Amino acid sequence: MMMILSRVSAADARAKRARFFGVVAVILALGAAALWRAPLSEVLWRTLTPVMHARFGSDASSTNTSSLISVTAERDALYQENLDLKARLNRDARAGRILGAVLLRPPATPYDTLVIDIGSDQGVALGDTVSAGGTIVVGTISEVYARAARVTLYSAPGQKYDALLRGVIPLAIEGQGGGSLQARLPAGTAVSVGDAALLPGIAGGISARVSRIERGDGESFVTLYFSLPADMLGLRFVEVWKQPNHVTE
Amino acid sequence: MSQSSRWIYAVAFLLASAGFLVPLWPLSVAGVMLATLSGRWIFAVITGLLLDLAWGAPTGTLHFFFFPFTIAALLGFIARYYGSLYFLDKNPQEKI
Repeated sequence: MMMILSRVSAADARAKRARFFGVVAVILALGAAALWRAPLSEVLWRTLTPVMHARFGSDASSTNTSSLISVTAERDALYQENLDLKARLNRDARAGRILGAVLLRPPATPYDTLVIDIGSDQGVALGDTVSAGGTIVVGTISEVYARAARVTLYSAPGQKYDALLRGVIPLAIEGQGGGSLQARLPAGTAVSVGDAALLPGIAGGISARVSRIERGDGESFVTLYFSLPADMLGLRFVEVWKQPNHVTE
Repeated sequence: MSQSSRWIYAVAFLLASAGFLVPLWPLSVAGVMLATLSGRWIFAVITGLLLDLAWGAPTGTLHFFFFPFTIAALLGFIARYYGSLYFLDKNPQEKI
């Protein structure tokens, strides 16, 4: 009888010990995942790349390439014309641009952030504006390393910036995460879906487009929902804008 | 490892990975819950952690605390633990 009891208690003790070590292991694993989430995600996504390519295809953005090229060419021509007109009025609005490749994007990085392959060695500085190409601005540099930098998109939760709706109406836009943004305007303001929010300044740049307007009955404000003008998950290259040359000759 | 364990591990992993690939997160939750409620909680936690790393994280403080699948696995473990105290058979026939 004593032998059976001692066997049972030994088994109980073993089970308790196993449970204790299991709990400790889970806490350690969770801590490690919280502290090193970005590098762990990166490793996981590198491992999963072949599976994801097999599932979703290697380049989903290759569709409609010809129309995209023509639209881009037209936009570049208009942008150049805009710069030339400003130059005729003795105003140099050209921003110095540094091309960077996107190394990591969500979900390998925290939502609404990118890691790019240029850093302080290439002249990137904290707060520089980042564009997805042309005048489509998507965020700012939030961390700079020697050969890499982190871009925080305007749509990151808690990001606030001032913009001009259709280049005229001032408003404060706040990031909501996942490429979405939000702002409030007085109810009488003329606004429609598709309107662009521009960054103030001579260089300007489209930072968001109105995707939905929410009007409550009897409310004095309307809520505007914006989306980023570029697909952050499809970005391969970005341009870092150095502060434009505001010298007037 | 018993035959039933093999089936549970296989089905749980298939559900979790299918939920990630479709993508339809409730399938992944079902896989994690199947593993944890059947008593394979370490496997469920590991699967949940991998899913959380793969789905990504928001910026800010939530970056350190946003582990929904792992938390689901742990909640399943707690539910099973308290369920076993009151509902599940504490002396199964095969162990008597």
